[in-house]
Amino acid sequence: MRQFRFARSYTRPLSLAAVVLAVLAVAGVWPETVGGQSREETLVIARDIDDVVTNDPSRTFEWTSQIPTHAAYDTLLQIEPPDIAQIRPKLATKWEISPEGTTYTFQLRPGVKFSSGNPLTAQDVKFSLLRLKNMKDNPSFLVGDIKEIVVVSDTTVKIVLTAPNASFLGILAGGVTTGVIDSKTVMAHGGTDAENAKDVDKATEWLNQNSVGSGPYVLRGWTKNVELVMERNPHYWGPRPKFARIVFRHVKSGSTQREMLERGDVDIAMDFDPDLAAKVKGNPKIKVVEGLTSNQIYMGLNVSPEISKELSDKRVRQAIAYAIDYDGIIQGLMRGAADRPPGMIPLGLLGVDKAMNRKQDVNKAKALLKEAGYPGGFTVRFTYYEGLLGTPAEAIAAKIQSDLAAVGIRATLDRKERTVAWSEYRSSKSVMILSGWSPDYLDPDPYADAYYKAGGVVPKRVNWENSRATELTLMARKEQDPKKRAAFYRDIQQIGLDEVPHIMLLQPKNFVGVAPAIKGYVIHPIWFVGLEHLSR
Amino acid sequence: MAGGAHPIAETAPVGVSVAVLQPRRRRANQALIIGAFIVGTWSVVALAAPLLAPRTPLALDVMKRLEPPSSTHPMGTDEVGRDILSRIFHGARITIPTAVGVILVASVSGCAVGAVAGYAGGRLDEVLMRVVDVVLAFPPILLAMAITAALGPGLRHAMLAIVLVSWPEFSRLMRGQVLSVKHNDYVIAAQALGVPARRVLWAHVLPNAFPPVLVKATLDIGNAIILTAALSFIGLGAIPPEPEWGAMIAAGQAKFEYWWVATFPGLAILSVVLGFNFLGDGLQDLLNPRLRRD
Amino acid sequence: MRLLRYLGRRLALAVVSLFGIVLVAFLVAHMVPADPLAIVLSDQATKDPSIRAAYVKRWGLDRSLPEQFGHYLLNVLRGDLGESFTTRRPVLRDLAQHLPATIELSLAALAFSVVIGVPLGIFAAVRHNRVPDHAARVISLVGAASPIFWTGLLALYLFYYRLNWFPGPGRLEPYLQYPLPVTGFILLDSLLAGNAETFRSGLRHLLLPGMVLGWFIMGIIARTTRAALLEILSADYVRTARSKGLGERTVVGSHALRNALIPVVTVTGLAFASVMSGAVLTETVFAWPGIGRYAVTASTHLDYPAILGVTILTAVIYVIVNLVVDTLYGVLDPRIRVE
Repeated sequence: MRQFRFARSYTRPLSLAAVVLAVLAVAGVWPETVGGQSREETLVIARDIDDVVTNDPSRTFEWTSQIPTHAAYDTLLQIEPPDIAQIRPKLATKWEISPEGTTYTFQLRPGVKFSSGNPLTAQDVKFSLLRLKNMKDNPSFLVGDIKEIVVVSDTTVKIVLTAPNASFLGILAGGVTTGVIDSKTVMAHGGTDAENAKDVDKATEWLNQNSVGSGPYVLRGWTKNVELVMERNPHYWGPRPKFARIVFRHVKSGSTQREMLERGDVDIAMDFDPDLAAKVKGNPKIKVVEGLTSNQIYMGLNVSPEISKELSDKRVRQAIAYAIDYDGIIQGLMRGAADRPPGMIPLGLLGVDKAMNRKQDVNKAKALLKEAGYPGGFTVRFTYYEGLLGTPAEAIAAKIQSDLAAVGIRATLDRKERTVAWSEYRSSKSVMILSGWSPDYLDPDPYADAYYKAGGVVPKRVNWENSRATELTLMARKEQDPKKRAAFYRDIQQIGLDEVPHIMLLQPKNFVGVAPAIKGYVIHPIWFVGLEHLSR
Repeated sequence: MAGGAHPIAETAPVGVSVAVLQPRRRRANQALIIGAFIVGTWSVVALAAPLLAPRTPLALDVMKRLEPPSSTHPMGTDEVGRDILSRIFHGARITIPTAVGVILVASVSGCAVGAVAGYAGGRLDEVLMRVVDVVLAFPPILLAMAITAALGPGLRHAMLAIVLVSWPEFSRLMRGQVLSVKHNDYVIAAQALGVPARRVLWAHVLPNAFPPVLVKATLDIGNAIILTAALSFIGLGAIPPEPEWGAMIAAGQAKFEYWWVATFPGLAILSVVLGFNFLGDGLQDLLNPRLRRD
Repeated sequence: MRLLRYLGRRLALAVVSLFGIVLVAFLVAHMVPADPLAIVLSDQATKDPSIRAAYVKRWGLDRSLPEQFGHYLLNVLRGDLGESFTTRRPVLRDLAQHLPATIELSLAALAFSVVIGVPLGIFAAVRHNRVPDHAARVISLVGAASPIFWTGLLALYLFYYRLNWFPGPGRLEPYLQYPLPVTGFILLDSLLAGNAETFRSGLRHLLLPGMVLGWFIMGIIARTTRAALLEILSADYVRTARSKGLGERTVVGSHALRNALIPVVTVTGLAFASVMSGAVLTETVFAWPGIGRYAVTASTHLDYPAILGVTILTAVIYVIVNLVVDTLYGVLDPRIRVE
């Protein structure tokens, strides 16, 4: 009896161990069967999707969101690389702009249906843009200029602006989406385009998990920080989308994404950095697609004497700009995977010319410092944050710190969490900051507005005001002649180069790892990729 | 056994023969020697880092990034071309004083609270122990994360957070010591003879409480090192480019195919924590064979 | 009767603790210096006062701190933990979504650590002061000294990246769809759905993080087993058994081990707190969508409703586990007097 009990209690843990080991063995040895047909028809994308907070097209403002919202909701117009200055038709086939530049009339493509089966009409266009405006969420400012929208007929819609805006077509071509939603379905789920939409609209919850646009794919579900699933839209007006299902899988690290891609677990890895791209060169299992983004990595310099006595002197700011080893950052840290425009308007847009670029000149930097009365240099706080549009922020900050040290400026690195750094920067209290910007839509105007116009996003943050730059921005916005517009933008950038409220560091390339079997991947400068072009 | 003069002899378990104690004592010494050797070596490294390190911890070279270990860089270079060996040596200057300082503050303040609670008893004791319970209810890393997140990242805030999560166990330990002495016959007898309770307690609590507190503190230094590194790993502790080991591992996480970036700082943490754990373990056996931690 | 009174007292204490927990967590969370609105809203939106006002109202930021606390406490009692800044969803729903993943991982880790740790402890005690004992001691010391985030990275590098023995981070192969969340546990849900492939994938993904986390607690369990067994081996009745000439195996097996396992069970229960601590970092390294990773994201984004929610949840679990373990202990072991 005793012997029996001994056997039981003494060996139970051991037999449990045996069972666990057996399970381990089986799990390790079992062959992986990939669900044949469905795997073939499913596109799996690995991406860091933790920025997604909503899929309601009237609320999305995050980077990742631009991919699914563009796949689900067609916009009136579109921009396709390589010629990103060219606006093309999409839902609208033809458009006219009144001579004074405030009234836009669009002819809609006939026979377009939403994924719900409802036909798309001018009424839906009106509903979509008004709901976007009245939800008063992050992207609402895009259509803040709209005075009224008139439904002329089922296929004709007229939009009246409060003031001329040469970049309005760019806004309707997306970036942050201005896509068209099915007003009937959205209203059935509590949606509204009324002026008090921000208080009474109840459709967001439903739109977070579903979509009703006319685009090639339909949102089927989203689990925060896990996955986002789309399916083919059976009613799509264009060519039949190639994949039955598209899954965005949340994978934070590029290294892990690369592993998964190599094993065939995923088809596309979206967060490759230059190091990874260099490492997989020649790997037969991974094709690297690259494209220049319209993102900017730059430094903001606060010009207010209350924030920094030294930086309030223009010569000191110029000295900093001359001290930086731009080529070292691009060739060394970015492995050559970046370019550099002279000012804050990205390459490829109107009026941008690399011949204007500033070059490193250490002696000039030292001379300027001496002239300003700081021959021995000074100490300055340099804020940066991780998550800087796929670039190695910490490495860039450390490099700049050592470049500045070479001319005698002692930068103390101040790493903050992105959101915290932003909150300080937005309240105009950062001294010197490494920051980034990604476009809402493609046109020089939003850049001029954000970086050069008095009261613009960045000038406000660095306490900088320049009346000439402001005037030029407003003139360029109204100017319909591209040549004259380009000249205005060149002048604006020159003012920035002289005043140095910000220093453009680089415009990074984007790398995406793609399985060799996947065709049609083209990097889009704003919404990253058009899913409808992809096939296996 | 004469009085309380010799705490070790006094507390030796009755049932354990000298023969059993002997090998244990020897092993304790072994653990103590190994621990002292590791901790001593790291202390020397920390003190002499500027002399020992081949380069300064911040010297970068963007054209020599992520180079594998070689004769010029025995532990390779990191993502901006800094020498990892030099950074590890200099990192010891951050890690060791930080952890020792944190535990010093936590143990002294924790013991003070525990002593007051045990001595005063009654409602004050009840309240203090409730506070201790509440703090102990949080997993240390979570509470420390919440505190550093709220105060803002940085080594100083991380240290404060670790003090705040580490003191309560010292309070419990100290309170137990005070209570056990308080009810001893000789204390009651001394009180009956008119000796002030306070003096009796000091005379008996201190020598009795010192060994377990010292052991716990030594072991907790190891925990504090890991916790600091963990906070830095998450991004809430030391701020780059400071060569803090946890932050260095975090840099390696993003690029794990460059194995040397994360491996060596991790080995540094492992060895120094192991050193303190051996030291604590050895001290425990040496000072008080009965109150073994396990 | 006495047990009931004991239970009542413990429950009352637990309630006091829980109040303290909510208070401490709330105060910590509200030390956040940054303006939460600047974090949530974009530039263009912060310029518009009506958008600001809408968010201020939504999160009750216009009230004073004590008022906010009272409000929060009432809401907590109603089961409402507020809305996360980063996910814009009720924190309770986020927690419900993430908790099963953490429990699944913790149970795997506990199983691994008991399966390896208990035999290791027994072995060490039986071969007391000989080579196995020293080896066990070194193993558990190294286990306790390795930073778990580093062990996890190393394990991933070796067993996934280099050797390809285990699958990578995450809970499932990326192309597999999550089973319909009935319980939230992938292993159960996939069985309920009758999906063998998902079950297998879930199991395979559980192994490596489970072992990494288990390795971290194994040392504690091995040492507890060893110490408990040693103490009992020196107890009178064991010595009596020995002196009767019974074989060592019989002595250890039938007399000592059963009694020694009581503290081991307790420690295993209490190790839950260590498991939760370890899970925070393991989940970060293994991209495991549990509450640990949720907490890390929340802290680095200053998402204080979420930080509050997680800390309160884990502390509450700890208090309840403690209560249950203590009570069970009192019931199981008559030597422990219920005071």
